[in-house]
Amino acid sequence: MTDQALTVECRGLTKRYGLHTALDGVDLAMREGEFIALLGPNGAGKSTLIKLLDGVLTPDGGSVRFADGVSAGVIHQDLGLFDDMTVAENLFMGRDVSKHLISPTHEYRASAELLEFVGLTRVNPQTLLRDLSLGERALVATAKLWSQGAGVIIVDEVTASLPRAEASWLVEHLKIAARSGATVVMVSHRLEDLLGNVDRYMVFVDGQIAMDAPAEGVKRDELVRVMSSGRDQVEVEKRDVSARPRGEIVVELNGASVNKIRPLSLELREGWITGVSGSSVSGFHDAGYLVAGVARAQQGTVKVRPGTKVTCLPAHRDVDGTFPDQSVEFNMSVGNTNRWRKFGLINLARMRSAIATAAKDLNVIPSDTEAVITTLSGGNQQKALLGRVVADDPDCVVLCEPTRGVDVATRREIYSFVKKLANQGCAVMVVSSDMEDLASLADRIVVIDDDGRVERWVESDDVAEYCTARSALG
Amino acid sequence: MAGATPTELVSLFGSPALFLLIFLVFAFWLGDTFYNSDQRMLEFSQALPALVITLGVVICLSVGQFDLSVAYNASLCAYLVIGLNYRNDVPMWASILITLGIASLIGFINGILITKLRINAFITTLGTGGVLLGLAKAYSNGGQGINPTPTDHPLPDWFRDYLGNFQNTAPVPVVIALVLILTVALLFTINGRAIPGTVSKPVRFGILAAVAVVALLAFAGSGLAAKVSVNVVIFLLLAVVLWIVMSYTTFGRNLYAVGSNPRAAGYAGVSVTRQTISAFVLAGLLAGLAGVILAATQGSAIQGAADGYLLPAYSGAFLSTVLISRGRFHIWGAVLGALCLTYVASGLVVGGVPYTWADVFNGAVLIAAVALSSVVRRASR
Repeated sequence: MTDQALTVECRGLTKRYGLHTALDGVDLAMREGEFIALLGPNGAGKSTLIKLLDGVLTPDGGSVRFADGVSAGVIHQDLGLFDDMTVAENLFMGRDVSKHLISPTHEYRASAELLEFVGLTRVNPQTLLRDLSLGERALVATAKLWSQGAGVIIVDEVTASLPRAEASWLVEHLKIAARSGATVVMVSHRLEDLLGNVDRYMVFVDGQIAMDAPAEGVKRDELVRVMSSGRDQVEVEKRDVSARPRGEIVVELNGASVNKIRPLSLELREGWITGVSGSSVSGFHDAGYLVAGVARAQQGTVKVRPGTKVTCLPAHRDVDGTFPDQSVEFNMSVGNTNRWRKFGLINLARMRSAIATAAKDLNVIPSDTEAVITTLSGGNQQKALLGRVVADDPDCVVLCEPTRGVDVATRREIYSFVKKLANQGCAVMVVSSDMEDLASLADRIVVIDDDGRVERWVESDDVAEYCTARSALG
Repeated sequence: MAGATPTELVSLFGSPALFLLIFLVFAFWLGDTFYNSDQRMLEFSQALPALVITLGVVICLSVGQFDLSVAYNASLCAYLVIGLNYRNDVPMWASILITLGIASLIGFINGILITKLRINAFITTLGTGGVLLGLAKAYSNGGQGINPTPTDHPLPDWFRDYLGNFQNTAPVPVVIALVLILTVALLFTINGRAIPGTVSKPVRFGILAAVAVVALLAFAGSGLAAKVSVNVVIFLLLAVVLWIVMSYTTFGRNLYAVGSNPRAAGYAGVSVTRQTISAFVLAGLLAGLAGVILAATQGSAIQGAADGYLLPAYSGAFLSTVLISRGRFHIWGAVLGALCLTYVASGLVVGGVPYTWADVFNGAVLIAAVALSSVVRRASR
């Protein structure tokens, strides 16, 4: 593919945040028609590179040069589209229209052409966006960027919230867009989505390019090895639960229902990890929010052992998790400040040092807890939020999608952290659409079907088998 | 300075520097006619009702909400506190308590409408503000004033002396103790909010020591110790209490959490509804207190007396985000900001600018100070 024209070229690209160097003299070039996977652990500099290409940040050193008439566009998880408008309206929203009157037929025809660019020939431009699947919406966003002259289209963790089948469907269509002449850069922590589909792997580690090679012949193991280089490997072992006492019941659901969740009964016990599996259609995270008391049961009861503190890691980090304009310290302290209270006042000095220690234990980068949380990479934000969830020694924690958008090494860190928590007697509930989470953590799993009913219970001996089968199905 | 880039420094200290510059210009241009402590303390005392409303506005903005009814609330309370005493012969202390209770109730109603019925705060408080304006008109029989005289329902002496009379100065030891408390509060605030964490320890200590020395020397040199009125002392103590509540209690930190991201606050176990209602109750209570102070200052009941305080209160609150607190609404920032705006206006008046133009300059200075910080902050990203 080297004969194609360059779309963007970076030389010696460098970006620093205070004392932390996020990107360190990066040289790279991308070409028309290329489908590139941008990989690397959290905090390796991927997000920084994206923001520099997008023009949101300005580099401290080096240069970004686009070919004439080319710019970069980024598609984030929230897509930035309008659900209540048609596909055509979305495509032409915010463009310089040379004419003051919009011709519907012209718009219709132009939309159909753009949709063809991403292989969405079946979609009628008059459809309301809300009637499309998430994958189709992501493609509409792609087409919109292309129409605005974005020759470099960066798809940032969009597949993370999609079911496997839809994710691979999306990847195939993005490949069509690349073949039509765009440079498509895809960021995903789910290697399975990318393996065998992309032309080139670009792996970042510690702000530098650790690997930049054509995809042919590169195996998964090699990618994982490069991505986790320079980090302590944490061996994940299954906990032995056979000798474990049954433990006291901490939280008990009795026929509790909320939103799409039909009456659900389960009990969480000290030292046990209960998994909840399901598809995004059922809104199965609500089962976790019921336990955490964030959602109130419409029917049935939620019984919490008196004096029990239950905390919750929400599934959607950006919308429900972080306090975006606040420091890491503030983000980790919310809900826990009573721990450092004396005579009604918080001892800020003690709280600061306790939080700094907790952040260090969790390996949050950068270590400066006064940094604004949104300057951290996704995985490090996740670790900080995990720190918030456990800061006040809760008796029960509900973790929704604990490893969403997190790299391989961080994932292992989180797993061993959660296991340690359970071994200390905490009742844990892991609500995840990621089978690896459940396979590594859960002692038993309740499976919620698409209608919100309990499909089955998977007991400890069958967990591994169930997860393997389920993830193979996608 | 170690670890902080020049743009960071400008965005942190640009707005305070702008005000320092203005007051420096005043020093050369106007000299003693502006740096006249009697006049400035009089203005401080006169500004108290607006300042107290500002504190309530800061609390409301911290939780991410607007309260546009505060000024009308204060106007109604200013009339009510004297009206109850004059018309219904309610003893003044009881009249004050009833008034503050009604003011809080108004805030509570605002909070309930916004959280339970989920009406937008802007619309809700615009509406309740209109209702309060109408109630005040009705209660005052269409805007007639009440003028208690020494022979006709006299106001108790303590009411004017402690809340309204700027000439009733506090004992010098009390003032000195207050100044020491304020200096400590200032140092804590600067250390926690204004200096970035990357600044090294000796530099940090140096800045704090310099600020303390400058503040104490300025106080000693100004001869203010014998000129601070009791109502100013009461106000500053109130500000100290609110600052402690906002910065050092779980309640205060939860207010900021709700203001930053209400959904995340809910998931982190903070009751968004309770925090929001509490903020509105506090805003109402402080508006009521502002009304009481205003009534004591005037010594009579005048309808609509506080209506014009809405804009100054919001100006002070927004200035707080750029003066000492790096983007967060802050009690001391608001007090400083509101005072700075007051004194910029009075300086111009002293310098011969017609009094009628003061508001124009007030608005312009507010925009300039906030723009300076935010433009630089954006450029440095």
